[in-house]
Amino acid sequence: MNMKHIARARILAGFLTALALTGFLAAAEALDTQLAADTDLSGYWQVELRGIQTESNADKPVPFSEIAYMWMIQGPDNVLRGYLTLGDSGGGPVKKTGDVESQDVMGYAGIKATGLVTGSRFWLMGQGASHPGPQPPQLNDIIIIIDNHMYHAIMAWGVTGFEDMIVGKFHYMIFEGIPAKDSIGTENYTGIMGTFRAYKIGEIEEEL
Amino acid sequence: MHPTGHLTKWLCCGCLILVLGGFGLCGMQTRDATNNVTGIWKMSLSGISFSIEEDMPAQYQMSSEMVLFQYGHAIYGYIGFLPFDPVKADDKNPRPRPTTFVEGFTANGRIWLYASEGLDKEYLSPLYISIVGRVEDFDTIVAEFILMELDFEHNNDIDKRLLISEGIGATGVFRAWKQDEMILVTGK
Repeated sequence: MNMKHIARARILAGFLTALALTGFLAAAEALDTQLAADTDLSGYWQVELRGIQTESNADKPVPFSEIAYMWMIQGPDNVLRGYLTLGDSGGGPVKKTGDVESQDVMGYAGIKATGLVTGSRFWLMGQGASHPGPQPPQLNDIIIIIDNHMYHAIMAWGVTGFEDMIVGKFHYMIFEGIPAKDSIGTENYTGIMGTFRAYKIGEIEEEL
Repeated sequence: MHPTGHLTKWLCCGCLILVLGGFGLCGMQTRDATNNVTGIWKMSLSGISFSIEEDMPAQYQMSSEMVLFQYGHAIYGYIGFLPFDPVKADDKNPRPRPTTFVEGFTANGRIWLYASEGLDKEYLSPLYISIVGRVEDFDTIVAEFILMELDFEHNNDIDKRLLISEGIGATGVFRAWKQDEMILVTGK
């Protein structure tokens, strides 16, 4: 290797070093602009869930993959309120009316969810009951017996990537059956756990 | 040594190995069994927590007791985390606030627990926790947890939800050790 090659190698190394430093400083500056109090996760989100699904009456777990949608409104106290819907059949109809200010605003079916934004971290809890297959009432029915009760409980936590991406993990439990029924303990319970990636797909209009 | 002596020696060794293997298999099976969590448990949570106040992680530690009842796959119980704030009605004696209620199940060798102050309530609970893990040797639970802990600002406007004065999210390792067995007496 002669002096010409050595000089070229030095120039190339210097250029790459300068490029790397510039990129590092730009990234550091960009990260620095994401102040904890400025993270606003209000909006419509698409959520990719992946993991395992295990059922109490099944022999072994099976892979789980689902696309979910949720909308959330972030309050001034960094609390999130909204609803989560898993696929076309997941979740349940809005049955409980606990939160007046966000209830019935959109007529949106899903699991009622509450979350926290702690700086660059995201925490979510969702729970709700549903009756996926009640029999249609007949004309002469006096008492309607609902024999298919499902209770959903989901918790998740993750790390936010600015205000339009969240990556994290989740626990999701589905309890089936009727409490205090004689068959208690033999109903089907489903546990799902894994990781999720969420992307913001829209903003919520101010008038909502 | 006589050939018959060799044969006897190897037969004895083979039987011994088979017996040890049988014990090992039995031991592995007991590690997967989760159908006996009924009892009083000492529990410990350790991990990291984040507050709505700042973006710095803090160490999260919590120790308490819980009581679990198992019927088949289903599990019900209580966790004693929460302080007993007395609730006082107008002309009645103060009474303790309800303790945290646990609902869960076992499936494929794992235990799943979810707890809040009353399940499916119409108002916010001060604490939510989700626990997924394993029961080891019938008397130890090793799991991971996700937790949300909320403090409220009280106001007099019932049409608006309570503002959160402090919110904590935590995650980490959950461990529990069975302290006492319980015998369930069926109601008459």
